[in-house]
Amino acid sequence: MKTGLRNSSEDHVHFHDCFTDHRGWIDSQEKENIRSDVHTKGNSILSVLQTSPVTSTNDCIIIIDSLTPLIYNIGFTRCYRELHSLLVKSTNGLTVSQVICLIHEDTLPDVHVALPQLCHLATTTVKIGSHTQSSRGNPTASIIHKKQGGKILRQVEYYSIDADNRLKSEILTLVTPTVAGVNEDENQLPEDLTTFKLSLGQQEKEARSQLVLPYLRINSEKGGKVFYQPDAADDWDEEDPDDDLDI
Amino acid sequence: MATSVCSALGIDQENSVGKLIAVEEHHSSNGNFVLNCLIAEQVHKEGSVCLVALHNSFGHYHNVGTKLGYNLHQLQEKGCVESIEVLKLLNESLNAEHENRVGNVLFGDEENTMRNLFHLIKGKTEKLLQKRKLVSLVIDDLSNLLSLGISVKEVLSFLQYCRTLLESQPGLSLVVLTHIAEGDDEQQLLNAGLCHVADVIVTVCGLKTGQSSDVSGSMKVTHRRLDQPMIAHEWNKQNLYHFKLLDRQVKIFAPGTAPCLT
Repeated sequence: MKTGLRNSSEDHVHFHDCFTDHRGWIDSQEKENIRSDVHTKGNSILSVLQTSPVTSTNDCIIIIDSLTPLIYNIGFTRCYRELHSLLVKSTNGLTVSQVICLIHEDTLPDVHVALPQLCHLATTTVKIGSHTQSSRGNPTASIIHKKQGGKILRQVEYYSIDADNRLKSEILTLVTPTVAGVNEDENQLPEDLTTFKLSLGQQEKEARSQLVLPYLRINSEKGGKVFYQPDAADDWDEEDPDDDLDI
Repeated sequence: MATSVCSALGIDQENSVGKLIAVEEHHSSNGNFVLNCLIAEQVHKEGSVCLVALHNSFGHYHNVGTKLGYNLHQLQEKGCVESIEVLKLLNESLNAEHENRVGNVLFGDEENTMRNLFHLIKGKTEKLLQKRKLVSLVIDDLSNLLSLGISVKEVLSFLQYCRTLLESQPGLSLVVLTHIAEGDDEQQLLNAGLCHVADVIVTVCGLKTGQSSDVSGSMKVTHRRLDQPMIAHEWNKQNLYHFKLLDRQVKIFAPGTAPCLT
């Protein structure tokens, strides 16, 4: 990583090597200390900062290149507490103005519990995703920033890294597919479906409007009435069939 | 015989010293051939190999090697190949624990187990580097450590220590194979942790639609260039291959171009 950062003066950027011998395996072998409990070499962030050579007490920014090994080694609860305490109080005379952490989601144990909590602690969350349809083959980054006043800014950008290791990003605009549609008059039948004439001429339209349908009666009276036309075979009796009842 | 695999992996074109090659073997496929071809390539380049055999015995690799064109026993006698046979260590440790004597390497505290294994590896690689410049550390396979009851955290620590060897011992390259089965969360975590730090990822899986007599499976190669910018011509580089395992060789071809179909 050191070779990747150009123009970084040694005064401003301190690298803390928590990668080699993070559990004291190599050291302990040289001291032939295998039998007794090996003391894990101060894995917490706080202890690392305590031993760091501080040249100035200005606000500093801490960048952690991957949070997963830390969570594995000291447990998620302790890691969370330490991150929180970094932001709230000062350690060893250092005031921390910003902490930047990188998390690989698929390497976290219990990610459905841990990740929302970390997102809650963070004021800015940048979620890197793979390319989508609108991002022209570039990976996307969705950014959520919580302002002090309670407002939340949400933005999606796509980014690319050029040959000089410089980041270029642009806001993602969703590309909606445009449909070249023809407004069709729905009343018109498509005339070229068959060789039969499907459309109506003017006279035919008039004749249709004047047609009275045989079994349709327009109900001009209020209330319902049953229209019954008896057939030739029907036995129509005007008498009331319930006359002989003594009610 | 092994050259087609190596050219597909892109190993012959770039220097693999100081790099970690991760082989991801999905369930119902066998990624062992990748390791054997890489060993063949290393032997061809006159480098040495330190083999940590968790999945098979040393005899197995020797047998496969004779079919690919190298003799591991002979190379071991010459001092070009060192091996740590964890299956034998398992036997010794079990006996030692049973009889309560010293020599129990694997059945103690988890951290101690990993540490002991790491120190064994470190010793062997240092010994090999004194003789030859190029050493390849081949671990087959990492997920078997989970079967020993060791937690993912310890195995990942062990992996990190092996990666530190890449810095402290120049001339070393690392090849690690892991097995993934669906539904096994620990293996998934381990594999994710490995792939995030690897330089070359080779994914070997079986065909999605079932078994075939012409194609044994598919192999996907992904290069992660963390220190160099994206090279323009790499965008079009084919990285999905089908392979067929034969008695004395491995045939690699683009999907759809199996020899029996063309």
